[in-house]
Amino acid sequence: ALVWSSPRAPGAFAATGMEEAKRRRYDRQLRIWGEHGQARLESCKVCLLHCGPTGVETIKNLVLGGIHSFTLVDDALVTPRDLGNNFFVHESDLGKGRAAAVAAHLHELNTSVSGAFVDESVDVVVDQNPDFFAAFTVVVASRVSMKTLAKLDEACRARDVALVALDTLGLVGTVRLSRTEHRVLEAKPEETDFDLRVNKPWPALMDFARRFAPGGGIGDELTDAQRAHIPWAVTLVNVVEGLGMRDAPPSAWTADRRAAAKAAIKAAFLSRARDTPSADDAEAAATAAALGDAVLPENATEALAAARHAWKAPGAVPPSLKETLSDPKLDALETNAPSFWFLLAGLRAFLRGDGGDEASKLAALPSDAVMPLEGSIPDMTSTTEWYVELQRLYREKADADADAVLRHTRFFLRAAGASEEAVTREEARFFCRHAAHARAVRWRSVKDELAWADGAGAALAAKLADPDATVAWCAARYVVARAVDVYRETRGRYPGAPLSVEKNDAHMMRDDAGDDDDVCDVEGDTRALRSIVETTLKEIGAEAERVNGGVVESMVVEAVRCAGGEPHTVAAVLGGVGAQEVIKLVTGQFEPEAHTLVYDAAKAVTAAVL
Amino acid sequence: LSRPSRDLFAHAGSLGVMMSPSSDAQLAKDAKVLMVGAGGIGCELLKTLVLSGFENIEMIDLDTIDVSNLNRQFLFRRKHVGQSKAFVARSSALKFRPGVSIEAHHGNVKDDKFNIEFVKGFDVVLNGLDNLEARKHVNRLCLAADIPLVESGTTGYLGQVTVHEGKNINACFECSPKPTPKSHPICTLRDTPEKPVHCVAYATDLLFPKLFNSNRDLTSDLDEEDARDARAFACDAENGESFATFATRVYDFVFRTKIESLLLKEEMWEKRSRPKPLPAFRDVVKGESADDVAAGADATLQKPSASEAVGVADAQKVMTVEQAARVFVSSVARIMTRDAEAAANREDGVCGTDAFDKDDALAVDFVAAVSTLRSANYGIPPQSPFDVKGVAGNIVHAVATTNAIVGGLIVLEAMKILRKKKDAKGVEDDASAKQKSYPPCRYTFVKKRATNNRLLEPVEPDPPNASCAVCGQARLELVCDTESFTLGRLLHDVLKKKLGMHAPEINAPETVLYEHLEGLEEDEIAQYEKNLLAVLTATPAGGVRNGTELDITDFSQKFEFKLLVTHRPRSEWDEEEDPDLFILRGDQSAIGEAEEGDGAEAGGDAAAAGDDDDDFEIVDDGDELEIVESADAGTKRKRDASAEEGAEGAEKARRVE
Repeated sequence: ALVWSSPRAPGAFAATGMEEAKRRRYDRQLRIWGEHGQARLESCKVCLLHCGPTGVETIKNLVLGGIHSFTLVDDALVTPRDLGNNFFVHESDLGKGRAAAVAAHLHELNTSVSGAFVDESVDVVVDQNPDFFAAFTVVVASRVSMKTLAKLDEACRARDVALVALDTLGLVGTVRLSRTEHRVLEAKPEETDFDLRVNKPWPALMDFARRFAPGGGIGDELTDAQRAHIPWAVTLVNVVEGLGMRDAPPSAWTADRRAAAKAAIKAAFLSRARDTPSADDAEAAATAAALGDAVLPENATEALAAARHAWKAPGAVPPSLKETLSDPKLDALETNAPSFWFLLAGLRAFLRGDGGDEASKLAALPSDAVMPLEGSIPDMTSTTEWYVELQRLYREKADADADAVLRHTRFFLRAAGASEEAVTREEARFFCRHAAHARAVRWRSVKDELAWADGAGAALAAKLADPDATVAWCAARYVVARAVDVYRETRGRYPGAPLSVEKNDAHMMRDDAGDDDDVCDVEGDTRALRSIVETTLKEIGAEAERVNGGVVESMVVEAVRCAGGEPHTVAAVLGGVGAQEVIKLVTGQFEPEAHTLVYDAAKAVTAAVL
Repeated sequence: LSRPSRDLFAHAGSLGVMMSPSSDAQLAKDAKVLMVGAGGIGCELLKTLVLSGFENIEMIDLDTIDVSNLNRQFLFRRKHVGQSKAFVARSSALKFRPGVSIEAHHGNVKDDKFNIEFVKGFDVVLNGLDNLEARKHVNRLCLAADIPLVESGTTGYLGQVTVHEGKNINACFECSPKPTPKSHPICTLRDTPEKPVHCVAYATDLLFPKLFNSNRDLTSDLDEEDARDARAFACDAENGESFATFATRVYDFVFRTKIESLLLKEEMWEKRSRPKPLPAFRDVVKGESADDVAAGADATLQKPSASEAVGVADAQKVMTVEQAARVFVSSVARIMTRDAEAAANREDGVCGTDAFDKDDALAVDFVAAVSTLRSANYGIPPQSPFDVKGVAGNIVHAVATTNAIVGGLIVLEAMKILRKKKDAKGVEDDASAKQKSYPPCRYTFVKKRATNNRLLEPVEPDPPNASCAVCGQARLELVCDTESFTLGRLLHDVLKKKLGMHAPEINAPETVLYEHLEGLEEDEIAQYEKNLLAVLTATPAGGVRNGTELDITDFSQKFEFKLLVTHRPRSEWDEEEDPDLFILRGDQSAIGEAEEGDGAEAGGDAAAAGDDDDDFEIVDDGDELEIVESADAGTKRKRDASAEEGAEGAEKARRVE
């Protein structure tokens, strides 16, 4: 039942100055994900299941960032325990509904985000009303049992909703991502290199460069000052041409050839050598050596520093993209498939060099396939006029390539019975600029994870024996966390938690009651948990004593000692990680994490486990 | 309040050797912590501290709240804009957790009251700072007071937490070199800019103070003869010149007349492209009057946005010359109107806007306009107002998520330090008596994504660096032209700016050349001020020459070192390479010795990013990647020392001359 809601504050961003007000508020993050990323965030509707600190910290970070709305699902009442580890409840909230209290405080953080809550048990909503989740972009679940999570995941997948599940158990946190398919276009890798094609110039670039070569129009009339402003990309085109290396494969660039190219760059800028054709390697090298580098103008120094562009493979298809292009989905495009897949099909046809519209489905990607040009050029010493001209040449070639990709794409759209207009020219250009890192991520379902299906068991067993001690350690943490889940499922309380919880609170998901004074059965719980761990290890074919030198035993002891505790320190870290993943999923920018990530706060380590 | 201890930081013991939850809870309860900085990291940290059982917290921050803080500094609301961060953070946190003692100081950590004695009153100091100078100062205070320091920083998705437990235990914050801002040669800024950043620096560093600084007699590099002759930068208000008219006069002088006269210097353009004077203002705006242009849609000149008034709405779009000219005149008129009104309310009748502030919308308008017009003069690709603001304000992008992670990590490290301290004191209760292997402190680096499985990368703290001038024994060397370098530059540019000293004292072998002026006799002050004006060789008692060793002391930081002066004549300096005309470096002999230990190369990594915005130290948006060899683990780690992560990355860094 939806009982409280704050509509988007009308007029909060009134027509005038709306953009400016927003820009000011979100300035620092716009510099990370841009206005289009922000727009996607602002249309994102998030649902949170369970209002413990881990989940609430996650939503807090998202509300600050300016999502569209949040909906909290929780039927618990605020207890003193909440005041101890959850910042977004007041003393005055004691005894009131937790979802309502938290929603009100979160709403204060950013009134342009609307909030709502549902005072209902998470299990009940998941069990009885899976359609409830259709209204959201992302569901964040915290402290939800694996059994319920598997159902929830199924409901989300069926409705193309992303799921982020978080849990904090003492000093151990887990982050789970699940979605049928997540498409990443703007991966924003840390290092990118410009694709300048100086060794594979298209006719317009070749013509432009030729003008600067000896005997090529303006080449002979330049003053020294002008010569010092020839953009280095032009110099490289001419040097490659002068050496007769145009279109030569990278393997043809022996050490000698590379040295010759560098010598030719120097020679081109030494006035004495100006009238000497740079093809004469020996003479050019001799002149260069005689004069040294000191007298070279800055653009020549830049050309030398960038000489590797001469022998790097032009527009090479990155291995990760090759993998994406071999996705079976490309050969079975459905009418309503996302344009991402049609564009990839168009790109593949472009890379195969298929003529016209007849794309042959079976042709392999040629090894020398050349990507559509990205089109941006780096910093170069130049005159404005030449630089702008060069920029235009690259932009036009990039646009022409994108148009070619679009033609292929439209063929596939037609073939699938979709509208040709489903992909616009702008979209195709944007796609081509980022295509090198396009990727579709598919995570294992929670159901498979729960049942050790789809290779989950073997994968975990392998991680337990991973030579990287951090990975093996975190995998062991994961096994214990799964055992705690089984324990909780059968006993209705966390191992180590006061027995009163079991007695007093019939409801499975309630771990909120109980206090330190209550009686606990530490030894009994430890025994029980240990036996579940052993069973779990057997299920996946691993042996307890062989796991990391028996470390599992001490992890069991620690899990009982923490008694389902959710310390705020750990929850805060997890809330940061969780919100970050939600933002990646929503903006389609940056690469998200693996299906399951384990965080160990004592060691300050993380590892992807499944 | 009853707070079940299972939710407290109760389980940090390494496996099998855990202390009792109550013991950890007691540890947090008894601890006195000092937080420096109540910004992005500070908000998260304060929240996590109070929820981890800490009950005695003091914090210092000199900043006030800006709208752009609200996307992550969650203790602040829109209604708090303009108020003290420290005070608001305190009251917001107390609203949620009334039982905790939080003392807030709205002030600079360099203030005298936050001295070594003050720091000694705490068990641990937690830094969430945004500028290198303050970080260095706190580092020295902590070293002097022998109080452990947890340092932190974030930039976009990257973050780091480092621990500095004290002298001889592990590296201090300054054991590894920190990137310092790059300065530009004045002549490049004034006459021959080449890159967009030069146009921005011209606007913020030269033209802005020249026009708006309250000290009208401030000497400036723009005070050349032709400017003085034309009274180009002085508004003739007495004869009725309006601010808008004055602004058009500045426009015509700076973007037209001055460029025309520079063009006459033929030798300047032999190897450079010649700049183009812009058309006169009245031609650009097609005869519209200066006052009408300045007013735009707001005749009162009260609206704090010139771009809005003249109808330039999209900050992501590059302005045309006409738009920039209008924004220029309107912003100058508005800033001067604002200052004049403020001055009228003051006794001394003087008020100005002394320096560019990225949170001042009019200042941002002004800088964006100047930079656009200057780019047009010199054929440099213009940048959008959004990008100009980023460069001018050294803005570091920042999100809530990374700060949340870092805030949590700081508390984890602080708990380890407190436990270790308590164990060392032997004050052990029964439960912790067997506790001997509390997890060791770690540097933790937060990455954008779990590459190679590691979203967080913990690294053993670096050992002390023997050649560190701050916690080690090293001598520093200053290379300069002793015949033209003044003692004043040594004080301000070297000791204060470069070394972050607060109140340095300069001792030559025979005499004291300078000490902190506060509380001195008048004749002493006069003597020291005279010394500051003298070139090094002309200082008292024979002068400072090649080979002189100075003793530099700062009692407020308990920081002391020897400075060897090496002479290099003016003719041997290349201003392009060393625009500062001095080099400060570790004394070669000292570094040679240190290389035997493993400290010297270790950890140039704690790249000192700062959430927040202010004064982040890296100006260049280049992609300076450094590979750092970690001394102990032998693992290579690579980090992005700069702040380059923005959405506009690739297109930003072009240069045209």
